[in-house]
Amino acid sequence: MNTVIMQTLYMYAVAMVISFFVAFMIKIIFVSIRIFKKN
Amino acid sequence: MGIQNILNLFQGIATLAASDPKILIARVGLILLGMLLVYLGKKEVLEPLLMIPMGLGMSAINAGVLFFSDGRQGNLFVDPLITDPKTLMDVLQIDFLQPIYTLTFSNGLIACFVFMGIGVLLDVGFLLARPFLSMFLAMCAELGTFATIPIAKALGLSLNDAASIAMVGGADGPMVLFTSLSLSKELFVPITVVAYLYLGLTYGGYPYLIKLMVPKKLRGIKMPPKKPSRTVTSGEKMAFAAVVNTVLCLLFPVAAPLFVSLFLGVAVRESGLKHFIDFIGGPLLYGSTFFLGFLLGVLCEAHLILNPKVLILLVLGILALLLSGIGGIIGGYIMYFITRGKFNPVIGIAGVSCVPTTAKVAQKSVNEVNPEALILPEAIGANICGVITTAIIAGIYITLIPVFLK
Repeated sequence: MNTVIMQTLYMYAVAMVISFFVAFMIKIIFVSIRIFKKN
Repeated sequence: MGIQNILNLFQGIATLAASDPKILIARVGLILLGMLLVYLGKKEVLEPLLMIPMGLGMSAINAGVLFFSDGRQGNLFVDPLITDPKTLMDVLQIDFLQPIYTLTFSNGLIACFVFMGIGVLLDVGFLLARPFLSMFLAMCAELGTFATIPIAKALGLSLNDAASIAMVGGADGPMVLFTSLSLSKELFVPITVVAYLYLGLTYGGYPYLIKLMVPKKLRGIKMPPKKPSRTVTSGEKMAFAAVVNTVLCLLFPVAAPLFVSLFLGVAVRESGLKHFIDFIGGPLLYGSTFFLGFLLGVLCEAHLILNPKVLILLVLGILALLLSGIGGIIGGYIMYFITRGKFNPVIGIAGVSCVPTTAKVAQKSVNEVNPEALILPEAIGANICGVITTAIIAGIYITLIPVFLK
């Protein structure tokens, strides 16, 4: 049972990291487009 | 003419009479349940787009059982268990729904079509305006998608089945279908039917959860007026769709069909291609939803309901949705404390990705207390993020669970 809980927590952590990575990418896209437009 | 001869004329009744008592009761029960679903769909208690074809299919499959020439009982609808290619070729020419099942259902194509339609309906501008807040709320509202796994395992399900039923917490029908088709082929029908039955209940059930967890005073909190922010252009939305789709496909190739379907829908919407938008958001989405509902109903045979795991799935499905709703509101409370009381915690429940139902439920619950409070922009952002996080979680489950089981 402990293994299942650890596996679940591991998957939650991976999902969390990827979701915030996506949010971070959105910010990068915005900044890149702004820089691209200025130049 | 004896009674046996008369029964042979009406084989639906003859097969009922010849059935084991358990099967007889299950068949009659499912015929009645099908009729009830049609009624509840008509009354709009449950989603009519799905429940009317599903209910009719359920009644028809359990009524229309006949004897084949070799004495076996069967139907002329579909045989989902065929694996032998030669038998499949024969059945494709006999069972009228077999081509649709084999070519669109068992490979997840129908779920991808629905996902494309959802993509066309999504305005990602709400998410792009506040990405971190939306992602945070969406991840909190995935509590049920994760917490249900150990509970399901404790109740005796395998890790594959546990992850598939836990996906109900993501409140996204096509995603549950796709995940259960990949991980739990034997139970995908009951899991998907349970998911669609319960998703219809979010509209009726979540307002009570909100009332239970959020006091009236906090429900009426007005969101502070936004700083004049620049609007998100369609070019930025297209760039988002292209980049995020590529990255997610790179990370989870097994769930790439889901990602590309969703972001293709988003890209088509933002490109302004009117004919494509009309086609994907109209005939493709509604045609797929119709056949999805009808086929799910047809797959609900009596033998299925007698599987002892179905009862466990019914309990776990509602638990997953409940935990996700609670998780979302907890996320709302965390934001409330971080912003020192300037955030309405009800927005959190919109992270449950039942687009746009949960966002509407959140706004409606807030308006009951304070008609001037507008939370819809934040709620829709979290809602759309919920769809993306659920797709990410589906990718994680389909990729990691087989690795855990090695």
